[in-house]
This record gives sequence, C-alpha cells and structure tokens, in this order.
Amino acid sequence: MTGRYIQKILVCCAVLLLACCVPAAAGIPGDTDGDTVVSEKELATAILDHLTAGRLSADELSLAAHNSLHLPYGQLVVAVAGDRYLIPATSYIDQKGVPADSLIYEGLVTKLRPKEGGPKEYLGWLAERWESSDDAMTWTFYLVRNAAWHDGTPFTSADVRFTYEYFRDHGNPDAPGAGAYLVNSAIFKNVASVECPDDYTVVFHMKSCAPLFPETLATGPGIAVFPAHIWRDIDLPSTYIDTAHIGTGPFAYGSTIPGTLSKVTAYEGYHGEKPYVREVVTKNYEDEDAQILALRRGDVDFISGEFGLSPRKAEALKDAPGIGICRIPSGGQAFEVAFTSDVYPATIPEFRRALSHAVNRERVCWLVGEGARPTETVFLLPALAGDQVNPATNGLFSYDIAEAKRQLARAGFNLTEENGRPVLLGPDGKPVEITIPLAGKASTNAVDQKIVAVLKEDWEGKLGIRIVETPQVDDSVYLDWIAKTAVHFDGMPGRWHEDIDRLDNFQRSPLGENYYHFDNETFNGLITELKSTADPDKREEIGFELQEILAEEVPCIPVFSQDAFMAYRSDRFVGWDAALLGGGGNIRLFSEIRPASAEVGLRA
Amino acid sequence: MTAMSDALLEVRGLKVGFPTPEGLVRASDTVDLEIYPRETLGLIGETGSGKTVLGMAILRLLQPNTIIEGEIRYRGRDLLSLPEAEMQRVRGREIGIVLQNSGTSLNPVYTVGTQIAEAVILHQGLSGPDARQRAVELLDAVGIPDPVRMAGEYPHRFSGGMRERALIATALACRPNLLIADEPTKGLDAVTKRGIVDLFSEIDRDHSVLFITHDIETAGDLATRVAVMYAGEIVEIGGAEEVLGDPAHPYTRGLLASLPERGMQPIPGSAPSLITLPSGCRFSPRCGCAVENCSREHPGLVEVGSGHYARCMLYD
Amino acid sequence: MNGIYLLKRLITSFAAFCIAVTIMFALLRLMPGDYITMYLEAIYRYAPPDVVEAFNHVYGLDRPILEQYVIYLLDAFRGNWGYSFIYKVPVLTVIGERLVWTLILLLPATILATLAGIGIGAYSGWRRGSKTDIALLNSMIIIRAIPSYWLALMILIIFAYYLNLFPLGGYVDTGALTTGIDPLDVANHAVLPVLTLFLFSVTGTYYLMRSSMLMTAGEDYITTARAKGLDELMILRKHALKNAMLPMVTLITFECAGMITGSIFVETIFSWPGLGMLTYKALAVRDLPLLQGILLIDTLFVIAANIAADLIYPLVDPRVQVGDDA
Repeated sequence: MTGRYIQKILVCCAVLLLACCVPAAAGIPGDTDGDTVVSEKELATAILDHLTAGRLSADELSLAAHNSLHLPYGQLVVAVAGDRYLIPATSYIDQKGVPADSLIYEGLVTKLRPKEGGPKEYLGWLAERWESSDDAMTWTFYLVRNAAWHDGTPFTSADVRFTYEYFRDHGNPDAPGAGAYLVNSAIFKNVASVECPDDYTVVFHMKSCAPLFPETLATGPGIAVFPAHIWRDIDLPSTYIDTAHIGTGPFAYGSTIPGTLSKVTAYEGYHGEKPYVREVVTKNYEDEDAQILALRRGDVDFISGEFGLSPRKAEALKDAPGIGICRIPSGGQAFEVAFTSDVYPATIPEFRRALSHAVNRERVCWLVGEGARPTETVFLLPALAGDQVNPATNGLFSYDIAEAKRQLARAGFNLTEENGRPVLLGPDGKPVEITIPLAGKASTNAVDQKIVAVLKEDWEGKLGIRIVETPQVDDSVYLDWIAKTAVHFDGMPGRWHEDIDRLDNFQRSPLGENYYHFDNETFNGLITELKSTADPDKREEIGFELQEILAEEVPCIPVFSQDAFMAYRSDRFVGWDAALLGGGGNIRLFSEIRPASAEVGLRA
Repeated sequence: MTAMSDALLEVRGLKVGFPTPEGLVRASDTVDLEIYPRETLGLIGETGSGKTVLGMAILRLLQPNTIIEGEIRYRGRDLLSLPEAEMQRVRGREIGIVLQNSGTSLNPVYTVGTQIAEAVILHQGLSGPDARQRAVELLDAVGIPDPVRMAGEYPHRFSGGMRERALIATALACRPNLLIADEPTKGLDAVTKRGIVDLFSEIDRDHSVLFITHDIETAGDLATRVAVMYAGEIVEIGGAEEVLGDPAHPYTRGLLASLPERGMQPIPGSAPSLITLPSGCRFSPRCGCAVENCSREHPGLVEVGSGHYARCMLYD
Repeated sequence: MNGIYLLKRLITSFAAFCIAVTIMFALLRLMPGDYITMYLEAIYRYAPPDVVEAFNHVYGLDRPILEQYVIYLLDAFRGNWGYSFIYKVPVLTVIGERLVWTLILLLPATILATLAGIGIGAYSGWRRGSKTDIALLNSMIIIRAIPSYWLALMILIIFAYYLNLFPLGGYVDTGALTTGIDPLDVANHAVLPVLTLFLFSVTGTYYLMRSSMLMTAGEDYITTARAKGLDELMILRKHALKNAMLPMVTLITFECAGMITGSIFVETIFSWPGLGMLTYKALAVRDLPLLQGILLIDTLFVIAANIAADLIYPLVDPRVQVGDDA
C-alpha cells in the first residue's frame, strides 16, 4: 500500500518537474511554437497537459480549442476618444458613407497603407476583382458570391445599384426632406448609370474618363454598400433612425448604450476570413489620460487617443507590464510652412524658394519631440505615398542659409545691416516684414509656436526678415487671416500626403482658388490631365512632373511629419503590430487579432 | 456710598473693555451702582458714555472677547461667574431687557406673537396655544390694538412705537424682577414717545426698572433715582429730585442747561475718546468750573447730600 | 400672491424669452466664422463651393436674414428645433438624452453641496474666529484654488486608479451592453464625478453662507433672542439660520438653473456624456441648430429659476409680498 503511494507521489513529482521544464508558453495558451495558431497537435498536447498535469486551466484549454478551430472567442475592449466614434443608435450613413472602423459596413474595395517606397495596394471587400475598359469609361466589379447581410438576406449586385441610386436621388439639395444632402454623393458624381448583368456583376458607366474610380470608392475609407431591402422604403435618410445597422462586415451590430458604449459581435456568416474575437466593445473615454489609466488598469485593450497618442505618453507606457506600443510612421499630422502666393513677398517665387532653404528641420523636430521626423520631400510622404514620391525632388529643400541668401539676392532683395542687426530690403527698397498668424490646425501642442521660434533664429537673425507674430487667432477667423498673410503654418492628417491625386490641393480649379492661392498654368493643366489618365506609367510620369513643379515653385515647405502611437494589451491579445500597420480605416482591423489570455473569454 | 444688602442688583467696580486694533476701549470704568426692588433707576448719559454697555454687561450680552472685571450681584449671586446655562435662566426670566433699536430687534421672519411666546414656552413651560394666549394678553397689556390679529403679524407690519411696545411685552413676558430698558424712546416722534413713557408708568409694578436714556426729561418723569454717566464713569447718582433739581456735578448741570426749555445751551467740546481718556477728571477739558488740579487728580464719588453722590473736585 | 401677478410674471417672462431668443439669433450669426465651412472642414480640407452652397440651401442659410429670423422664431415656439449637424438627430432628442445624464450628476452634487455648504458655512460664520472656523475657511480656500481640471484628474487617479474603488469613466460597465442599465452600476460610476462636482460647488455656497451668517450674527434680533434666555444652538437654528438663508435662495435657484449647463471638465475626465460636453462640441464645430437648442434650454431654465426664486422668497421672507405692489 505505502509503496503504491510513494510511487504515485514520485510520478506526480516527475510530471510537475517535466511541466516546469517545458518553457512557459508565450502568447496563446497551447501555442507552443509561437505562430499564434494552435495546431491540431498542439491542441491535443494541450488537452493532455490539462488532463494529466493540470498545466492549462479549463478556460485556457477552451481558448486553445477556439483558436485551433478558428471559433471567435472573448471580448476586445477598444477605447475611443469621443462619442462620435461609437456606433450610434442613429444613422450616420448619410454623412460619412462607411463609418471609420465601424467594422460593420463594407464597400466594394478599400485601399491599404503602402509599404514604404512600395506601390499602392487595394483590397477587395465586396468586390473580388475589378477591371475597366481601355478608355476608363466603364468599370466592372465582380462581387463575392457568398456574402450575406447580417440579417441573412443574400448580398447581390442589386444592393450596389441601389446604393448608387439612393445617393443620386437623395444626394442633392433639392431632394425631399431638408438635411438630406449626402456628402458622399460626390463620390458618384461622375457615374452615368449602373447596370447589373447578373447577381454578382456590377457595371458602372461613367460620364467621363475615370481612371481612378476604385480609388474614389476607397478613399477615406470609402463608401459603403447599403442593404437595399432596408433602405428601399426610407425616403428621408436625414430623419431615419437606424437601430439595426445591417451590414456585411466581419462584425454585426450588437447593442449601444448612448454616449458611452457600443458592441459588435463576430458575424458567423462573414464571406471573408472570420474574426478570432467574439465581441468588440467600444468604450468612450473623452480624456486621453483617462484612456491611459484604463489601459494600464486593464479596463480596455486598445487605445489610440484621438489622433494617436502623443509620443511622450507612448514613451511612458513602453515599460508598463503587459502593454505594447505600435508606432505608425507618419501616421499623425504633417506640418508645413505654407505660403499665400498672392500676398507680397510670397508672390516672388525666389523668395519662397529662398525660405525653403532656411527651415532648420532637425531643430524643429528636436523642439517638438520624439515622433517628429523631418521631411525630405516636396509634399508627399514616403511612408504613405510609397513609390509615387519622385526621388529626384527629395532633399531639394535642404537647410542652407547661404543658398537662401543667393536666391534672395537674385530676386533683387538686399541684405543690409542696421544697428548690428541684419535687415532685408525688398526689391522695392523697403524692409521686409511678414506677419505669421498663430493657432489654426498647427497649434496642437503649440507646434506653431515651436516652428516660429526656430524660424525666427534664421529668418530674422540671419536673413533680416522681420517677423510679426499675431496673438492666438481664433479658429473661426483663421481662414480670413491666412488669406491676408504671406506665411502661415498648417498641420494636416497624413492622408493628405499619401497620393499624387492629393496634389490637386495646389490646382486652381474652375471652382476657384485653392488653399495656397497658388496658380500655375502648367500645374493646373497637369492635374486635369492626371484625372483622366488611366495608364499607370503615364500617371507616374505626371505625378513626378507635378512634384518637380512644386519643388521649383514652392507653394509650401513641408517641415516634418509625426508618427502615430497606439498602445494595446499584449498580454491578452496577439497580432497587433501586423494589423495596425496594415492600414487605418480597414474594417478588418480587429479580425486578425487573436485572444491570448483566457480572461478575455471570462468577461464576455 | 454704602452697600445695602436689600438691593436687587449690585454692580461693584465694573470695568468693561473692548480690545480693538487701536487700543482698549474702556466703555465702563469702575462703575458702582445698585438697584432696589420696585424702583426705577434712570441712567442718563450722552451717546457713547457707556450706559448701553452697562445694561448689556448685566445680562452678559456683550461679544465674547469683551474684558469684564468686577462684580454684578443679582440677589446675592455674582452673574459674572455664573455658568452659561444658569445665566440663560436669568435672562428673560429674572431680568428682562428691551434693547435699543426697536426697528431691528425683532426677528423679521417670525410673527411677533411667536417671538413673545418663545420666551414663555422656554421659561414657564407653557404649551404652544397657552403661550400664544399669553402673548396676546401681553400685547394687549402694552397697548397694542387688536392684539389677536397683531400677534399673527410680522414685525414689518408694526410701526416704530408698536415695535417698541412689542419688545417691552417680550421683555416682560416672564414677569422678570428687573427690566432693563435701553433707550426705549429713541427715534420716536413726540406723541409716540409720550405713549411709551406713559406705558412705563402704567404697567403694574412688581419689578424694578433700569431705564437707560439720554433724555433727561423722560428720566425725570419715570425715575425714582437717577445716575449720570460720562465717559464710562458714574459722575453723579442720587434721588431723581435731588440730582435733577439740584445737580451737583457740572456735567449734569450742563445737560440740564442744554434742554430746550432751559435755554438750549450745549456743553462746549465733545465727549472724549474712550481709548485715550484725559488725565484727572474726565470732564475737566469741557468743564467751565475746572481748576488746575482737575486735570491732574482723578476725583472719587463724594456724598453731597443724602444718598446723593457726585464725582467732582468741587466737593473734595 | 395672486393670479394677476402670476399672469403678469408669465407675460414678462415670455417677453424676456423672446428678447433672449432674438439676441441669441443675432449673436450666433455675428459669431465669426462660417458655420458651413467650419462644419465641412471636418470632411474636406477646403470645402468645394458647390457643397457649401448646397448646405446653405438645405439649412435655409441662403435666405434673407429677416425670413430666417421669422422661421427661427416660429420654430422655436413650435418646438421644432431642427436637426443637429453632427448627431443627425432632432436637437431636442440629443439635449434630452444628455440632460438626463447631466442631472444625474448635478442634482445630487448640487443638493449635497448646498446642504453641506449651508451647514458648515453657517457653523463657520456663527463661530467666527474659532479654530474650527479658521480650519474650515482655509481648507475651502485651498479647494477653491486647485484648478478644476487637475482636481478632477487627481480624484480619478487616486480613487479609481490607485485605490481601485471606482470605475475610470463612463456611466455603466461593459456588462450593461448585455444586461441593460443597472441603476446601482450607474450610481457606482457617478460617485467620483459627483464628489468632484461637490468639491467644486461647495466652496461657493460655503463662502456666501459664512458671510451671510457673519452679518446675521451681528443683528439685534440675535441679541434679543439671547436676552430671552435661548441657548446658542436654538438661536443658531431658529433665529440665525433662517435669516442667513435668505440671500441663499437666489444662489440656490440659480445654481439649479446653472446645473443644466453641466461641467465640461468633469464630463471630459469622467467620460460622462452630459450637456457640458455637448455644448463644447457644438461650439467647436459650430453646430448651429444644436447650439441654438442648448441656449434656448438654458434661457428657459434661467427664466424658470427667476420665477421660482420669486415664488420662493415670500415663503421664506414675510417682508417680501408678491403681488401686493406688482
């Protein structure tokens, strides 16, 4: 009897010892090789471990099994900054098309973030593939065949046509029901008609050559397809309160508590790769510091501030246990010194060119702090625009005060001295003085003041340009101010710098003046040409040419772009970096994230 | 001046001082006086002579940081050393007071009846309705017309004279042995004033009265004895007829001379500051009869007639 | 108090409302910045002129100003306050929803702060110069001097984060998505914001009550009461408190009216979807219909508070007789 007991104890000890020798599993329970997938063999081992040694708890085993069978598991809690990022109990389809990160609605196609220096990439959502006629007057989309709306109704080409017609009919200011103006109707402006040869093919006939139609559909983040069977009977989209939110995306609408919480649930019938998490809960934290506390305490699994966390806050989170940080290159705002080209002295191209050599980017970045990277390009950012950046224009706006002086002298400016301080006299013989309005979009974290501090050292101290800073100008009159002043600062989201198509910012269009009051005939013509050019090589050529004109004419001087930071619970979910770097606005963002801790299953 | 054991109230060597940033205000300096049962003592003096302070000091109603020395013996008990709870039993029940400024001495948010009844309930343990009834009787007794209705009215519906009467009713509510009336006729027109004076002479008299006034005539009408105060001191005290008929102190004489029917000759100068008192006799700077010694030596009270004392060098 | 007076009061209030509404209409249109441009900036960088035009047309902003005014006035009275630009729902719906949450915080906070402020203010004033008074006064000055944003954040960090006693924000737990809103859960979420709001507003009531009590304590009728033989507590309770409270009526009624404006700091830090946050957002993006709606509601509350103060005064102060001289 005693002997058998001793034997048992010895076996137990041996098992325990063995268990200790097995390296502590990182990431998902049961996933011993760390590939974030629990293979059949790994699952079987895990089951045995659980049964014999109790090394994995029942909950952990359940998580391993869900992972192995690809069954959605657990709850992911995402913090958002502001109630407008929640899924509201009301419809906002009329405003924005696909709500960013709604996870519910899909369009035909979306655009992904390019690899640095790489080509543009599109991702089919409801369209499997697409093609255009040679003259880019007809676009044909071949739809996925297994998609269904969240209420079970099959998705067909009729839904796509309905979406177009709905925007066409309700998207004009005279449509019945004031307020029914649909901003996104502009997306379909160029479409003449839509035709459905069969349930899974849609043909768009365009009014004019539209080489970039998929790009238009996918931009920012794109237009959603509406379920015809629901919206068919709704005449006044502006007053319709949608409570079901029927889409085709990987997650279906669950429930909302107004102003604070909303929930989506993995959609079993999703036509693409099913998500690994069962529920995504969105929780509103208006204050960024509260978000950070919530992440640290484990109330939420993912935070991104409103426009990404500030570098300093991300840095502070870096060493917190169980927390990971993802850095998205140029994912934040990009800042530029902008000229108003019809205000003296910015009217003189040499003056603008001279100043482009008088911006000490390194110093600005040092002042602004970590996460700011100096720009080498004339407008597009390599991290976002990929291979569309013209390498020949890189580094043209280098910091070179001597060159700046040469340019000024060439344009008839005269650098003199007065009381030991440099004074720049303009071609008219009068001292040059420029007014810089502060505030506006560049005033976040007082970036505008930091830039002006650095510029003053060079512009005033070395080039003799007197700088007058205006006190903080209110947002509402900022536009009036910049129209009257030669130089101002601007900060804009990275997506304005991601595509050559965005260079139409500088075009003086038939609609009127642009932001910079910049007017270059060749440039205007090239933009018009670009818009009707389908051939990729030709487009690249035009894009390069446009950037060369910008380098020559300098309507603005890019200074730096900021990286965006996001933070997540690496102890609970894995697969973050790949998903986050994959591209913003992708509704499949959370589809690739996998639970790694049984506790996320318990809270659901 | 001899201490008489049958006095209702005896004040001995009372000194009252208010500390202020400018210095100590000696509002009352070594005051001795006694009030006998059923008598009316008139306390006369100009504004700021310390007579109100004296009245308040008796009931210990002065602010907490006041410095008080001396003795105030009421029926043999020293009020100054009484615990606060005991003192509360003296106030209202043993000694009633009609404060100056009848206009603001009634609480605006309670009816007059309630305010009178309050004291009755507290001291005599009467029930609400009984106390109410008593309040109406009291109002009637002090000559308020339609007392039942008026008991239910708020103070702002009362005229000045009626407020004064209501305050007297409040003070008399628990039949105190001593009534201190502080300038009850101040600020009233002649007719109303007459009414109040008549009221004092009419109300049935089981109690003594300390009648504080700056009005010599009123004091003459009501008081059996009179004390005159100047700069915190009693300068003359004695029977009303003696003091007012044959004043010994130059100040009293001056007061009498300033009456309208006696030629209205005001005393030259003004009362001294109670912080920096003149040396010697406090009245000497204004005194017509002052001699050299007056400003050097401080005179004591000297008996000038039977029970008639004056604080003056003339009688030394 | 009589019917005619009430009628008169209602008529003057109505006139006041009309004037306020007109001023509001003028001010909102005088405010610098173009609504449509600012609103569309969130979507476009430089809004295309045709879109701007279309928006102006849809919202009637291209009509003559007088016509806009008449339509606005009629709609204001009809309760047709339009649709919010940002939320895309009727203005009254948004405001109503937020008002509930604002009141859940502010009602208890204001009631507690008023009671506590009056209580300790009265005591402090009655015992002027005592150690308790000095201690109370100094702590109130310190609380008052702390920047509200910082105070709210500190309360959040200490009580929610470090001590882990309360949730970090919002008004319900994630569980509410499945089980529905549990009042107890809401109460648990409300503790810290209510505490913060309480600290913000208790000091004001305290100051006013203390100085009011200081004045009252020196009144002659307090001496009269003392002369009657009442003990100190009774004098404080019966005679001093009621009189010292009189100036508080205005403060309290207006604090109640001010409640609906909410508190931006507290609502931001505690992620509480109240009216303060809503106002701020509406202002930031120039959500004209929503702003108008909020201001109209504010006006109504202030007018109501005025009437309430008028009606309450005669109840507490017999000297004030409504209707007699009106």
